[in-house]
This record gives sequence, C-alpha cells and structure tokens, in this order.
Amino acid sequence: MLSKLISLNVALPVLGALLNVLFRKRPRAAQVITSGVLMLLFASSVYMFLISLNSPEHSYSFGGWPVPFGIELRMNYYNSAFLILIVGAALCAFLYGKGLLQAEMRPSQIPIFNALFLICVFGLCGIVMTNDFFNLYVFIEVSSLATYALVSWNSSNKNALLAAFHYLVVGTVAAVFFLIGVGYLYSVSGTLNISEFMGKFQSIKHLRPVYLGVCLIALGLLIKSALFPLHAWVLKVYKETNSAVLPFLGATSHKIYAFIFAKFFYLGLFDFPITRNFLLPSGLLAIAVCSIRAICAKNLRMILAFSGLIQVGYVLILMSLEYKLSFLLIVLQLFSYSITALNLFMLSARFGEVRGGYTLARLGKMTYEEPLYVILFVINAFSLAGFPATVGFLPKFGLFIDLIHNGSWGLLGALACASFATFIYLFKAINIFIFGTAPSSPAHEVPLRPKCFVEPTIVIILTLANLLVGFASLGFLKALL
Amino acid sequence: MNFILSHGPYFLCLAIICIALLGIIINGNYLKKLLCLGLLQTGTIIFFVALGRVNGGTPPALECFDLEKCGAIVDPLPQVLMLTAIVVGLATTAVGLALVIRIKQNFGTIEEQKLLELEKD
Repeated sequence: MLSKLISLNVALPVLGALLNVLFRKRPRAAQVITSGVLMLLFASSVYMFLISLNSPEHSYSFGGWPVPFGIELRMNYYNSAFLILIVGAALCAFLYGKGLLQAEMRPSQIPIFNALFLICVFGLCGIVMTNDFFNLYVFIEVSSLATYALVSWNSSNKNALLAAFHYLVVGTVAAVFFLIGVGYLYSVSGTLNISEFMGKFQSIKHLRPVYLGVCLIALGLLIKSALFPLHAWVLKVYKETNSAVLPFLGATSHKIYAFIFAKFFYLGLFDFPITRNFLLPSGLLAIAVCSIRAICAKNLRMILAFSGLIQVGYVLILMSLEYKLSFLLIVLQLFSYSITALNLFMLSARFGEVRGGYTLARLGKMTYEEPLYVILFVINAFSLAGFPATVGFLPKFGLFIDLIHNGSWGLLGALACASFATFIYLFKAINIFIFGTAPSSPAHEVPLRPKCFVEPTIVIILTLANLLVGFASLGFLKALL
Repeated sequence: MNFILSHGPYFLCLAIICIALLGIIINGNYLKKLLCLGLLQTGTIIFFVALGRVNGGTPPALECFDLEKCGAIVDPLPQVLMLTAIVVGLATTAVGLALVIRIKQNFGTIEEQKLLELEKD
C-alpha cells in the first residue's frame, strides 16, 4: 500500500498534466483539476512524512523489477520533507498566482500553463525521490524543460525569452556533464542504482574513471545549484520571470539541486581528500560576494535572488564541518529558507504588480498602499536573517552552537557578518517601503485587478506557520537546554 | 598509435564534446549555439554506446541469450539509456528552437551581441 503511494507521487502530476491538456477548452475545469491534484499530492506527501517518522526507509521499484535492474524510488525523512516542501510551495504558488495569470493570459492558454507547471512539479518530486542515477538525469531534464517554458512565459516582458534561452543552454550543458559522469561511474561499477553503487564505491574509488565521473557529476550539480561563479543564469531568470511562476522557482529550483548535492555528499560520493579543501573556501566566497552584491542591488527581485545564492554557500559550509547533525541542519536551512523565500517572492509579486516594476526606486512609500503586505514582508525578513521565534532561527542557532562548541571563532565571526548583511539588504528594501519617495509617474496604464481574498490568506497563513514553527522550535530548544 | 586506434570511439566523442563546448561558448548566433548543444548530446550518446562495446561481441538480440553459443554480447543497457537520452535531447532542441523563433519574432535578431544591446534599452 505504502509503496504504491510512493509511485502515486510521480504518477499524479503527470496524470494531472494530461487531464489539463485534455480539458484545454475548459480553463475553469483545468484550474480545478490542477488545484485538486496538488492538494492530493500535498496530503499524500504529508502522510508519507508521518509514516517515515516511524519506519525510516521505504522503496518502490517500477514495473515490479527487482532493485538493481529496475528503477527505484526511495522515501525517507529527508526525501519526504523535501517532497512536502516542493508540493506545498507548488500549491501555494499556484493558488496565489491564479489571479495574476488570469489577468495576463488568454483563457485558452491557462490549461497548457497548468500542464507545464505540473510537469515541473513532477520532475522535482522525482529528483528528490529517485534512487537511480540515470533516472535522476531524466527527472532533472524533465523538470528543467518545463522550467524553461515557464520562465519564457511572460507576455509583458520579452526579455524573459532571452533569460529562458540562457537557462536552457547552461542547464543542458550541466545535465550533459552529469550524464557523462554517470557513464563513467556505470562503466566501472556496472550499476545505476545509487545505493548499490555506494556499496561498491570504497573498493573502486581509487580508479581514475570513478574520480573523473564524480567530478563531472559534482560540476553538473553545482552548475544546477548555482554556486557562486556558476550562478549567472539564476540572476537573469529571477529578473525576468513571470511573477506568478517566480515564487515557486524561488522556493525550489536550485535549492533542490543543492539538496541533491548534499545528499550525495553524505552518501559518501564525494569522499575524496580534495573535497574538504574545496567546500569551505567556495562556500565562504559565495556568501561574501552574494551578500555584497545583494547589499548593492537596486532591484527587489535581485536582492531575493542573491539571498537564495547565499543559501547554497551555507550548504557548502555546513558540509565542510564534520558534525553529526550537519545534514539535518542543511535540510532545516534549505527548508526554512524556502518557506521564507516563497512568502517573500509572493509579497514582492504584489508590490511589483501595484507599482509596475521591481526596482527599489519604484517601491517607495509602499506602506500607504499595501500596509499588511509590508508588515508580513518585515516578519519574513526577520525570518530570513535568522531572528529568534521564526523558522529561520533553528538552523542558524544549530550552526552557531556547533561552531562555538568547536571553537571555530573565525568562521563564527564570518557567518555572524553574513547574518548581519542579511539585515542590511532586506532592511534597505524595507526602509524604502516606509520612508522612500513614491514614484511620480503613474504606475499602471491598465487598472489594477480587483483584490481577491485568496492571496492575502495564503501569505498570512504562511507567515503564521513560519512564526508558529519558530515558537515551537524555541520551546524545543528550551527543553533541550 | 595502437592505443589511439583501440580507443577510437572515446577520442571521437572527446573531440565532439570539446568542439561542441567551444562552439557554445564562442558562437554569437543562438541557432548555432543550439546546434552545438545537439552536438554535445551526440558526443555523449557515442560515449555511452562505446562504453557498452565488447570486443567481438554480438548484438544483444533474442537468439543470442545463450552465451555459450554466441560468445560475448554487447552490453544493451547503455544503448537503452541512450534511447531515452535521444528523446530528451530532441525535446531540448524543440524547446530551444521554439524559444529562438519567439526571440526572432520579438527582437528581430538572434545575434547575441545585438540582443544584449536591445536588452539594455
């Protein structure tokens, strides 16, 4: 029963996408189908998480083929937590973006858009769950192809096409690197199953093809997760994408690949002496450069994009510290960032819609028009900076405690500076929302669409969930101390 | 020389992959970039198929399941994987071409240099 449920998580979105195409003459039905599918998926992923709390590992092999031959999907805490994250983010972003899309698109386009959205969700769910190297490549490509199309889908901004093309070229090259790496590993080990490969890894890791293959896989995944010097595509994509799609991309996309990179690291795939020397400097470099660029950025979306790139740096730094809880902290860090970023991107979508742009100069005196949204933005900004009683606090606190425990004062200082930088760049934006000057030119040629109750409800619920989890974690820490 | 000959397919795909990467980097024309992307995938496909090769191996067809009769057979798995990779490559090319057409319609050019100037405006 449970293994069937695992397969349902990848089967349902595909089915939903097909139904959407079938119902392309009936946009309303397509909207209902998509929301229904996403809600079902969310329910099943939550159920799966609750089950995996009691019994850690579950697996499903496609077509009944036994594991080393067939493709295996695997479910444990971390995978199911990320599944919840992806599906939850998709659900929130979809419900939030519905109104925006209806205002922007012809009704006949909506079902096709929904189908693409569901295929993207399908690919990401597969990436998180699969336990097979080649299958992982296929899922990466499926989700990326859908993402290229989603990114290019912006009727009001034709630069989105260029961003999508740029992303397509970089993404495909990264995926090909990954594929060649998989080829090398297969040529030596004769297996594509990740667990089986890891069983053989210690005896074959001294061979040169394995080393080369692992390097190529790491390179592919790092381009996909947008580590600092390989990050240019993210900026273009975040700047030009449709604001209905961006919250979903902001919460998932390259963070999921960072998670996969970390997962492989903790499975032992990157277990080479050189890895340790590489992780800490590149993580610190990513955090330092992206923090400075976020402080200098003049566009709200760019600030948020850089905050996402900083998380990849955090992941690498956490990996470089040999703590028992590192992987848990990585998952918590990415998870808390994604929830916060989802919220921030949704709030900024509203700001952009009201003022017709995302440059900070346009967003002055936002408090007069959208007071509620600005308040929510401030709360989420605190969460991003890791303030107590928000969801962002726990991973930062865990990291700092570990650093103090081990006496790595230099790193502690650097990361404290990074947290402080988060305050600076977010509160630079908030300062403009409150005290900046409103733009004199009229923001909109077309009148704003009427407010609907769904959007504020979602952002309020998400922010409350953020605070609730934050308070719960405080209680947890109190009990611990 | 003997080494090069015996590893011919690998050198071939290495050459193809290098040419393709170079082409992606230096070409300013988006259509040519896309062609190079296709070339990159072709190189990968040749690499995988070469991985499965066995000296003197026969095709892994149904009659040849009896190993003693046929001797060595070629590893079929990389070939099967490449069927999937070809489909993925086709899809990528299709999406890329669709984007190039839309870029041409919207900007009137697919030369990177001109597009960068237009993007700034």
